[in-house]
Amino acid sequence: MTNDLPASVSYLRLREIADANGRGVITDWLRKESAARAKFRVRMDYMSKIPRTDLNNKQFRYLQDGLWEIKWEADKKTWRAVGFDKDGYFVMVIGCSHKDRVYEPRNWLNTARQRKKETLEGKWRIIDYVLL
Amino acid sequence: MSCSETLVKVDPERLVTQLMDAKYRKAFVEAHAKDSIAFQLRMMRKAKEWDQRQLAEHAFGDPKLQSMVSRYEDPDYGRYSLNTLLELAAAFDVALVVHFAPFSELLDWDETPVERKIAPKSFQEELDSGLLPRPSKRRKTDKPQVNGVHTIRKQPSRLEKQSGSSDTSRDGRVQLKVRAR
Repeated sequence: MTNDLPASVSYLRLREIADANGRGVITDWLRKESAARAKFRVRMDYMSKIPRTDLNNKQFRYLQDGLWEIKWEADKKTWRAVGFDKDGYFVMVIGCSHKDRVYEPRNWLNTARQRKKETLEGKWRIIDYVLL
Repeated sequence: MSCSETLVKVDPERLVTQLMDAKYRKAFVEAHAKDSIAFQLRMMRKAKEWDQRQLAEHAFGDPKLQSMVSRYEDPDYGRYSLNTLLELAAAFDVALVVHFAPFSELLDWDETPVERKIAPKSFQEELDSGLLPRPSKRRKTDKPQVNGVHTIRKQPSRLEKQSGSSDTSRDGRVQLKVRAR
């Protein structure tokens, strides 16, 4: 897959995968991170109304294997929500933060690849992401 | 797809619950200040079909300052100079409003659809679309006097009344020295 955008995903519409208990992985990840959550809320309010082709690649960037990242800063750390396009939605599969060279979780990119594959196989539920 | 379908936001009551957390509150204020400037700049520039060099030329008179525009379009940057923001506002002929405000005002801004706030109209566009009242012909009383002294009628302020000192004369006129063009 390349980073060419299909017309159906010209705007970011957020969804996330949920665990067996129905808890969204991004919602859960940001639950105790109030500064990162507030920044993400405001950031997405703007980014979701701007055509993806007009977004700055510092905030929204193609990674590899069909995965993209939304990137923002809070609490002197960089935060990433990684996801892929499915049925006109941007489905987030993992969140990752890093400061200097310390990534949390360390294996975020491999996990993202794995979760994308599992999501496409129907092993994860997909739910709407609600900006909190 | 319409833009309004792109996002699921909590209702204002739940947002206020989030704002009870001081850390969330601080980040929310910071995010609105930084993101508004960065996204507005980028979208206003694109609406004018300018690249960053052209904006640098319009705002600062030097296309080599493109990297400065690039930094200002980054919502995580935040180290703005007020004077530079004023120069950018002048380049787009829009207003720049910087003030401390109650949270209720920020929530109103948060609730305003992004489509309405992302690319504010210029002064001329507002005049043309009737959003600003077009001034009628200059009134006789508005004309400056030949010696450049302009007189307007003004009620004395409460403080002036209390202190008994006022620049306002007995007939309620105050003299403002305005150089007529």
